[in-house]
Amino acid sequence: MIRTLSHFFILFCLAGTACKPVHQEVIESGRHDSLPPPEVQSKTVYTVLSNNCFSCHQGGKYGAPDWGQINSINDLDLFASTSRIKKGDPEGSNLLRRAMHGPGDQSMPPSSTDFLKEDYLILYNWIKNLPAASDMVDGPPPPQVQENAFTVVQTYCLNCHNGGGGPSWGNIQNISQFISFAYSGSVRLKPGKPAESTIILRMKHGVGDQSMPPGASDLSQQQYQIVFDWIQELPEAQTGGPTGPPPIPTDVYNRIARSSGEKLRIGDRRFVASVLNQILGASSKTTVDKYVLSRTSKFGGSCDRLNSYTHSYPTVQRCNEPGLSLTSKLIDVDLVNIEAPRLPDSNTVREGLRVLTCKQSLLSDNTALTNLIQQVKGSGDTSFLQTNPRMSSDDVIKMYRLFYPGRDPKVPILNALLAVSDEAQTRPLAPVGANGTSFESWRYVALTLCKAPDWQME
Amino acid sequence: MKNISRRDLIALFGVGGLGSVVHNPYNYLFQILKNGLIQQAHAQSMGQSAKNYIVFLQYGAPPRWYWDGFLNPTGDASEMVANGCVKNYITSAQQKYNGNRLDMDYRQSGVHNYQKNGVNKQLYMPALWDVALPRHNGTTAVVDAESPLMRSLLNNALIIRGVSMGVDIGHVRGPELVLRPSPARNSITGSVAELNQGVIPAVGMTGSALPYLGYKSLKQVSMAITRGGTNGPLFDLFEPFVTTQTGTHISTNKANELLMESAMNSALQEMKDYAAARRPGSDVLFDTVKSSEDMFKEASSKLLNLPTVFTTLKNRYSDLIAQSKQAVPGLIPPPEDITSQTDLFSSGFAVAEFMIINGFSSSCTFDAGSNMNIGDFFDDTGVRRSVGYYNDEHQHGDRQHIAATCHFTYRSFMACLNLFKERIGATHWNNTVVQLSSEYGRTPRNDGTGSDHSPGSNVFTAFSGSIKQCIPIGNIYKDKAGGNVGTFGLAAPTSIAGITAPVVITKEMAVNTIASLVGVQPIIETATTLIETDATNGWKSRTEDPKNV
Repeated sequence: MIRTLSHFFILFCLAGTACKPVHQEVIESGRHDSLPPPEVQSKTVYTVLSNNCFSCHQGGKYGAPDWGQINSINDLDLFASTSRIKKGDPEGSNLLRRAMHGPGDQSMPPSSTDFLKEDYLILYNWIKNLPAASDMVDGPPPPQVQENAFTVVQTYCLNCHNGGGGPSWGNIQNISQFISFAYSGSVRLKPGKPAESTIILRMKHGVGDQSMPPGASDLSQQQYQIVFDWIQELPEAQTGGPTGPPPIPTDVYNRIARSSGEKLRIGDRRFVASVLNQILGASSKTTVDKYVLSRTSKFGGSCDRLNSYTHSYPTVQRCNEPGLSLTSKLIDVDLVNIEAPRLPDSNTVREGLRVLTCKQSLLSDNTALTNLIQQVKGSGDTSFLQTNPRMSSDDVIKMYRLFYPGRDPKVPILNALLAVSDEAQTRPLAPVGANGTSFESWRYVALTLCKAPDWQME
Repeated sequence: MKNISRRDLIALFGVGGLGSVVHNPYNYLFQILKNGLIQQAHAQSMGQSAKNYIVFLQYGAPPRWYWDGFLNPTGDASEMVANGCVKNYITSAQQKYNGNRLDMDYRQSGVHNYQKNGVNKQLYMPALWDVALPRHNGTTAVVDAESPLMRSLLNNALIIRGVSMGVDIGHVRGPELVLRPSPARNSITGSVAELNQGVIPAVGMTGSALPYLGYKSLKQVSMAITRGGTNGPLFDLFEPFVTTQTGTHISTNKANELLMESAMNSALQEMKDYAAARRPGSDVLFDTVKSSEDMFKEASSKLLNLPTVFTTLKNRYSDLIAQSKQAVPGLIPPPEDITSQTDLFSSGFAVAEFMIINGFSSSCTFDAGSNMNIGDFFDDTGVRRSVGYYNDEHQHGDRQHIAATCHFTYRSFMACLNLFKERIGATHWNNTVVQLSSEYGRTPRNDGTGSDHSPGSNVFTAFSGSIKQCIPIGNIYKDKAGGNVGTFGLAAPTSIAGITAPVVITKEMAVNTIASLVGVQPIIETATTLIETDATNGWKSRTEDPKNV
């Protein structure tokens, strides 16, 4: 704690202001509103967060939620827009509720390292002085906000993205078309979720050639904020609008892709089994049941452990299945992992079982692969492979979407998958389809996607 | 040096280009071994590590009066009364049957000398601590002159008697309290798993009965494996890594050797790359790389022969248990094979040994069961009675029965523990904590027909090489035995450093104490821990010496 404090002082003094710490003033005056200049304040806030929080919340160590990359004071704006902070309302912000008032193990920082009151006040003042987010949740943003945002986008983005060389966003000529684009389900723009929208991430965080706009013409903070606020204020679902997101294959996908902030529930064997069953088809059901659905504790997702550990697949019993006696309901609950996370996390055995499922389905014969091709191509006729065995970009993207519902591959990943497709052609052609058809490109791209570790990290 | 997260690590493992996609069946096996080494090095460099935590959970287990209850630690003769609550089925005054005297009472038989703060102390022991533990003489399990006495393990023991569990929530949830005293908190097993980041986060092995394992963790899961099955529990756990894409077991043959070598070299190369990459743990890993080829070969050969490896490991322990049974005086061994029943300890120790030596996991919970039939004996009246422990000993109130089951159960456990200590070696032993828990103590029924739950008189006992002197803790009442003469270990207030008045030791304190020993954060921050580090002896108690009040 001494160390933390001295860091704080040093940084504070280096910032070029009076070396009397602001927290003393705050305490002496009993007021919360005496503040240093904004840039000093940002630095101080960053230091406080860095000293108290980041050792766990950057990278999600010790099981702490990952707050994402907050690498400098410039990233505080984004952080301030997350659910942990309610702008203008320190008492209502989770960040401070945890920092000061959390009961028991919810108190942060955990255990012995208490939050300094000084640090607390710095965060308090920062949040209090953040411009309060508008309460626009149910209705669309005011026309002026939309117009301003569209002007920025028109000026900085559409030159390239309206067919001018960059990836096309469609033909966006007016505000109405821009709003339609916002609700087209694109990852670039997620209504109500600026921090998850690629357009914002690229504007703010992009590095190298991913930073937008390209070249030296950066957006000003104000311009950036205009777009940010507009997305923030867009209702998540468009009411009465002509187009919603495109239909998603199953309700499972629906739940996942649409649920706010929830990642792929790789820790839930039911979910994984349903995804794999859909992608690999009926011929792989036995394999999926054996290695995924029946391995409750190894995957996560509770309530039928008694059956799962004896491998009595596919008889899988559920906690509250009708007909179970009360005793059965009580004892069938997976007491080991009942509260185990359905979070994406590494779990070697789980990975192993999934890889085994992928291998057995895709390497043993071509049935599952054909089912996959059918979903990508819209037809189970694989005769095209005789003349054109390599996968096109379009094929790869479509296959990627099967594994990552609602997402498109990033460019480097797409390129890597295409490279796999090409290189696979140089491998021995086994097992060979009818008439010497080579399935290898499809097989290895599918296998790569199926067993990739980031399947659960995305 | 970039500080990378676990997520980065996993992503890094995935980078292998097409090489990682090629269906060499050995690839995944070596990738797992490699990942384990990198993760260990990473965790070590981040300063995170807890001891290995091996816990056996018994439910409905025999009373611990004869073993670690230490009902009379000060040896005061006036307190050495027989527990009148325990009915004596033997009608004659000689307490004998079949000509053998069975008097393994909880009376003290000897004194254990230990030191605390440089002061010599004495602990009066129940008679059982003076029995010899079966050992392997190279070919078979024997009890001979070279057999160690059970008391030889006392200096590695932390014994907290008279722990108040607070509530009696029955068998289903009861054992949880030992690992996780509050539903809101991580369990000790979960905390260890998260801190150590083993290849396998945590292992929970069930017996024939319900999985009473109080596991909880924020992010990890506990792998449930079953004791039985054709190929044994290790295969159950490692199945995905030793199964080919056609569903068969990977087998070593000439054709596969080249593939294996290629996969091993590829994994070794990735390790070298990591070691050269100046990532956290690179320095640690650099030393490991040198010896890892041999290790890979050894570990992979073990993994490839899991059923055999497990049987060999387990039989070593089973032999000791069978020998322990032979040594119970007057016992007539049952005609049936008792292998499945002695699996309880032997399977657990076998799995723990495999996990620790190979570094696969450091958090293991084993169901030590509740239903063990060890044989019969004839009482003085000529009635043949079966010996075993069932259902809290509800139906067994006779002293012979209790003496026999306690003798067998705890002697078996200690013999296995002694072998386990030898098998894993001094370094691992110093870094390992083994605990045998029952969910409650036992209270004798007033009418002498058996015993029942006693949430107020539990015992927490843990063994570790990091303990160099015996640490006995906890006061008990000597006269609150339900109207009977004697004691069965009901918790009494104990003086604890930092607490003004003596207080009854709660499960929260006991669990925190185990957490201290294992090296994880306190499970319940508001409760104290009963031990602190000691330069000479590793650990020492923060309480007064145990006495009866």
